[in-house]
Amino acid sequence: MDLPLYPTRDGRLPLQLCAACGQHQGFLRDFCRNCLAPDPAQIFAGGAARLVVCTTIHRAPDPAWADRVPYHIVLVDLAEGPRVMALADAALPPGTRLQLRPGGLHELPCFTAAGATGPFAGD
Amino acid sequence: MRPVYIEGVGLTPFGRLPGEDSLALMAKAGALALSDAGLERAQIDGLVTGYSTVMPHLMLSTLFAEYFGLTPSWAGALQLGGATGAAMVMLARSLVGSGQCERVLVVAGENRLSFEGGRDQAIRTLAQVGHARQEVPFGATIPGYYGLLASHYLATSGATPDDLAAFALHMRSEAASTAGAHLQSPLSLDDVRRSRVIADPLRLADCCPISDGAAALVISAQPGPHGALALTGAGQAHRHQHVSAADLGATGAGEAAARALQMAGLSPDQIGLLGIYDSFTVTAAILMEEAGFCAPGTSGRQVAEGAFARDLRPLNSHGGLLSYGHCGVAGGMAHLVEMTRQMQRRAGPRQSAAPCRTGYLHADGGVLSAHVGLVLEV
Repeated sequence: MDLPLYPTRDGRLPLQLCAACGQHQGFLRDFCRNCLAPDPAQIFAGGAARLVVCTTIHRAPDPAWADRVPYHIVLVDLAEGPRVMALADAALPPGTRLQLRPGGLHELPCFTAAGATGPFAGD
Repeated sequence: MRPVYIEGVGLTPFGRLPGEDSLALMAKAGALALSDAGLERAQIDGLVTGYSTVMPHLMLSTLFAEYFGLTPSWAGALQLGGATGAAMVMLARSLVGSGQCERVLVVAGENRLSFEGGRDQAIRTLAQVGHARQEVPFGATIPGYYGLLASHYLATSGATPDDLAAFALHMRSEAASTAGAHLQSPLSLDDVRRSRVIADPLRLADCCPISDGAAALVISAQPGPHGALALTGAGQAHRHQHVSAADLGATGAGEAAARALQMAGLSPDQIGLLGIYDSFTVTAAILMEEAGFCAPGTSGRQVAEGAFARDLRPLNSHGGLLSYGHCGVAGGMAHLVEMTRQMQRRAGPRQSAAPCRTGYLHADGGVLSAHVGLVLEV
């Protein structure tokens, strides 16, 4: 099976769901790591998550990212279960309730604080 | 298994060493280790190498064997990130202990600082230990992965950024008296607090430099000319590759340490000196705490209070990765070279007044991904 392009360019966050055991997985594979059943279904994260930890990068790995410093990389626990890496639009403390920002940031999945004022509130 | 000893050690200066490629640096360290043990090349029947990020090769061990003039009956190369050096010694211990080999040369070296592309290329290369599709595209770097670990450590342990800074100050202070150390200029707490942020909360002074350099050890069935220093314990643990998949509260360091210490029949409080992988200040903090040498959240404070002073209980008394420098595989081997010299009481002006009869080395690779612990006893 072909794994989807990850990250997607539209800010959505791909996930997989195993029909055999019902587990979600964050790192995409052509099998379920929990039960080894083949071909888990491709889905997208609903967008709700909780922040595990955040770092703000000031020293970029390449010229493209150098234009974007400082930027925020986070580990989040998705409502579906898996823990994944993504961007955030601000430095946020552990435990912050998050939602996926429609359209993403830099064409990558990006989280924002849930309930924050602005165009995404209530999404 | 028969007893296995460190028969000789070799270590080059770390820093900017232009004009020497990885093989040349490895040969230099190899020659130093053979000379230290009083051996000829023909007496080496086993060869374990690591890798060089600037000289990728399918067969680094036999490439080096031909280059250096060795004809071993066993050769191979290991790749385990920063844990490679310790894992190479663990493998050599098994080869000698089982009787497969009499003397194994363990050697690594790399010119990753002065190589074309230098620091920027090294940072890009090293970032690739992250997940190619689901971490690296977010602009992540090695300091970024460890910045996540450091954020989590500070949020959950009660430790402060100044506690992390204590490791930077300790290593710089130790490096000041170590010939060949990459960074020797004095460093104050204010310097650390004012150094620029790399990946919050890690500042430049929390990060090891990128260096050129090489190190080698002869692992042998013979004790050698400097007194018997035996490898009495070894353990590993591997619980994740990527930080996204890590248990941030228990990365595997504790299991590797427990396996190594149990093999030697020792507990952490019976260990007289330490060599702890310190790619970042937070690396050493987490490793010392998970391995059982300090209660959670207290390692930096204990370092600041002098619990690991050289004459009491040495910790990376050469200056560690943070100040002696980091050239890849050999970076983690420098700790073991220093421990050997301290335990055999031949560290010169840096010699610890403490007994140093038992030592524990811990190295990690990746993002606290691969763990190797070694126990040494005189």
